[in-house]
Amino acid sequence: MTLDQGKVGQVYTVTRVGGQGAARRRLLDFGVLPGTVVEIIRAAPLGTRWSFGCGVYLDPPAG
Amino acid sequence: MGNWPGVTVERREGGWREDPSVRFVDLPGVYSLSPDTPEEVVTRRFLVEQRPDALLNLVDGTNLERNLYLTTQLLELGIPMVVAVNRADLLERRGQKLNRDLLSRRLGCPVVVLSAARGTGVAEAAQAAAAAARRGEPVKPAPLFPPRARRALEDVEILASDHLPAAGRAWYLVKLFEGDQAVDQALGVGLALRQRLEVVIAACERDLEDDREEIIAAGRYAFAGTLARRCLTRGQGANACPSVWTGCCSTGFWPCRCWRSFCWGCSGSPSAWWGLGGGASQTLWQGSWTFLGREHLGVVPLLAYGLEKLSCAPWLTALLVDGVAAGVGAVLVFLPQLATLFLCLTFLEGCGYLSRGPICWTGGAAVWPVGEIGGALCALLRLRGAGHPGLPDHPPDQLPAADRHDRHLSALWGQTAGDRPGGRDRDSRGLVGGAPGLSGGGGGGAAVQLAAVRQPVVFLGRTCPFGWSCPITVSRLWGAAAGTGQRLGAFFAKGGEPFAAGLGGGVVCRQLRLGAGRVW
Repeated sequence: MTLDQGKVGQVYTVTRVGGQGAARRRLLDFGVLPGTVVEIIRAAPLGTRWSFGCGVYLDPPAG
Repeated sequence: MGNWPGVTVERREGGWREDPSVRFVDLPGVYSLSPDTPEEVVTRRFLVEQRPDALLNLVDGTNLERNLYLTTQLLELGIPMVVAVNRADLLERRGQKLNRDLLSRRLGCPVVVLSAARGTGVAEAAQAAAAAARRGEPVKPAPLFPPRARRALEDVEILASDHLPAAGRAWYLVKLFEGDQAVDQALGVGLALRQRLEVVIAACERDLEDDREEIIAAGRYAFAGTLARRCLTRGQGANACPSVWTGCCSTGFWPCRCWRSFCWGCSGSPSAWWGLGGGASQTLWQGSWTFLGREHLGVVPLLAYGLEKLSCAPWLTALLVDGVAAGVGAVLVFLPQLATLFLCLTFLEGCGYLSRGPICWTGGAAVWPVGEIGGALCALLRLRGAGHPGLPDHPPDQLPAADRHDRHLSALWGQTAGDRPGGRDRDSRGLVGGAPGLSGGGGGGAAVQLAAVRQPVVFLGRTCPFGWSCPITVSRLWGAAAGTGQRLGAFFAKGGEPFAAGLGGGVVCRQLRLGAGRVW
C-alpha cells in the first residue's frame, strides 16, 4: 500500500520509496528510507498533502 | 556557515571585528546539497565552486541526526571545517548531554557547542573557524557506505579519473555515482563515459538490491543516526522549564497576560513619559523650582547666572545660553523619553516581535481551514522569491506534529508577528544596521486580544511554549542597555552635527568680525 492509503495516527514501515527526480531525492534527504518507521500525524482534507513523522521525528522538538 | 533552512535565503557577508582579514559568509541553510531548491543551489554553488577557506557547519543539537546528514556531505568536500552544535540551551533543558570529544573524533574536525539564543559560545565558534581556515587542514570524508558501494565508487574513480578535480574528489565521486546531471556537466562527463559509469553503478545496485540514491542516503543516515545516538544521551522531560520565570512566561495561563502587558508597557511608557516626565524635565532644564524653602535654578538659568558671574562676553553668553542650552539643548529634555523608547524597542526586538513578518498570521488564518499552517505559506512565498528574515523558528518541513494544538501555536506565533506593519526590506535593514523605524501596530491590538482569548482556552493545562521568548534575562539586560546606549549615541551624533556646525560657524563669524558691534 502507499502512504496516502494509511490512517492518521497509525505507524507504518517504509518498504519502498517511489516517485522520481527531485521529489524523491527530497524524501530520501529527509530520511524517508526503506526500513524507516513513519507515523501519519495529519492528513489534508483533499488528500493532497501529508504530515508525517519519521525516525527521530517521532519526538516533537521542544520550544 | 549553514543555518536552518529558510532563515537566510541569500548570501550575506560580514567582517569580523577581531580580525579584519577574516570574512564570514552566511549561506542559506540547507539539509542537503541536492540541486533542487533555490537555497540549495546557492549554497552548493558557493561551496563547490568558490571553495571557502573553512566551513563553520552550524548544526541543530536538538535534531542532530538530520543535521549530521548534511555534515557527511560537507566532509566530502574536503574543506577545513568546524562543526558548531547549536541550541545547547535546549539540550540542557531537556537534560541531554553531548559527547563532544566522540563527535569530534568521528567527524575528524573540531566541534564547538554554542547557544545562539543565549549568545554563548558564538565567539569561540568564530575563532575555531578562523583557526581552521589558517591551518588549512582539509577534512577527510567519513566511512559511510557499505563495502560493495565503496568498491563501486573506486571503480567510478578509476573510470572518471581524468575528469575529477583534486579538491572535493570524494564529493564529486558520490555525485557521479548518484548520476547528478549538473555535476556531469560541470566535469565534462560525456555520454560515452556516462554509459560506462552506468554499467558499474547498475551492477552495484543489483548486488545491493537498492537504488543508487537510496544506497547513498541510507549510508549517510546510518552514519549520522549512529553517531547522533552515541554522542547524545537521551533526555528526560522534553519541555521541562529551567526556571519559574520562564515557566510563567511560556506556559499555561500567564504568558499571554505577560506578553500583553509587556507590549502595552513598551508602547505606552514612552508616551507616559512624554506627559509626566516631560514636564518635570522641562522644569529641571529651563525653569526653577522651590525645594525646602529655597529656590533652585534649572540648568539654563544656572548657566546664564554662571556666565554672568564670569563676566563673559555678551555675544558668547547669548550664544551659549539662548542658542546652545535653551535652543538646541531643549532636545535634551526628551532624553528620558528617548531612552525609554529605545529600551522598549530593544526589548521588542529581543522577543522577536520586530523581526517576524505579518505573513505568518494573516496567511495562517487564510490557510487554516484547509489544514495548513502559516509557516507553509512562508515556504511558498520563499519559493516565489519573497524571502523573509523573520520566518518562524520551525520551518514547515521541520515542524512534524501539525495537529490542532500546533496550528493554534503557529497562529499565535503569527500573532507575535502580526503586530508589525512594513515590508520585509525595512525589517531586515532595521535589524542589520542602524536604528529601526518605530512601527506602531494597527492590527496589534486585535492580535493581543486574540492571543489573550485563545491561549488560555486552547492550551489550558498543557505544557506548551507560547510563541515568544522571554526577553528579560540577565544576560540580555546588558545587551538591551548597550543597544539603548548605542541608539542614543547614534541619535545625538546625528543631531549634534548641525549643532556643532552652527556653534563653530558662530564662533568663526565672530572671530572674523562679520557681525561686528552686534550681539548675537
